[in-house]
Amino acid sequence: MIDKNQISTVAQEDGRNLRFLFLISGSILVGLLLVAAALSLYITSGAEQLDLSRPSYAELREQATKSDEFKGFSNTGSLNKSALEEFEKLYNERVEDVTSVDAFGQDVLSTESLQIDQKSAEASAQATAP
Amino acid sequence: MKKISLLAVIVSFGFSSVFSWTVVTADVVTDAQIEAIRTHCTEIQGSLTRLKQTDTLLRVNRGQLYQQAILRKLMTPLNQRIASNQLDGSELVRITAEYDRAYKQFFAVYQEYDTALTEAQAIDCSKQPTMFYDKLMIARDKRSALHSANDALVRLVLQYQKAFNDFKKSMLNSSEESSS
Repeated sequence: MIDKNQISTVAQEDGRNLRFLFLISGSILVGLLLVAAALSLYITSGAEQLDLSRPSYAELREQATKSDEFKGFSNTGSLNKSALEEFEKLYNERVEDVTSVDAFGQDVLSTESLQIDQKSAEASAQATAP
Repeated sequence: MKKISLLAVIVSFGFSSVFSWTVVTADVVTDAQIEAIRTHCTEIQGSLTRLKQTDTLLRVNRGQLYQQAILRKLMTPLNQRIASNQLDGSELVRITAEYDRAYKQFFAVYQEYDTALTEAQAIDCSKQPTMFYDKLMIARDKRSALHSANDALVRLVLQYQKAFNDFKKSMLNSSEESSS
């Protein structure tokens, strides 16, 4: 004859096991949701496009300028002649950096650059013709 | 009257057809180009990969220069120092605000360009040369827009330089006058 206490104990154990299962499943689900949210932010914020930590960008990481190297101009203190000259020197150096390179200026995606314009295509076809 | 209106409809239809034909032919890729894309697909994809890497590096370095060095470590601290010394730096502040907006625009345009380039890279140009060509032209247009956004930032950097020179001149003149 089955004891009522034994039935109650088994039911309690089943209940604990079920709660434990829910706890694990819920934790995994919350973790997946947070990862999805983080990944979505990573893509939509534009951080993905500036991320140099990928293995294929190892060489580029060394060429990237470090923001800590430049101390800049202090936002406190008086504005006398020497302070103005200090700012002028710092700013002119940055202007030189800005104007020395025509960033994104070359039309490297043109058909001529990629040699898929009509003229190059015809020359290529003639070269490969039997 | 009916004949005149019918003639007008025919003429306008003819013009619109010619116009649309002209627009279409400017973007149509020829068979020779399709064959060239198929033949040189590997080299083209290699070029795009190298371009993406160099443009990413350029974007990172330009971002450091435009935002960190110029905006945060030069323009903003100077504007704050001018304000704390109770001087008039309104023109410098105005240009700084415009520069900040231009930088956000540059950031957004770069995202569009990078997305367009990635979409072009994702297509197998040996199997879908026409679609690849279309995506490539979109990426090209986005890069051109990016160049324009960069030019806007450069103009504002030079504008701020000029405004600072004017500010410095007026500051030094007024301090000479007060000392004499």
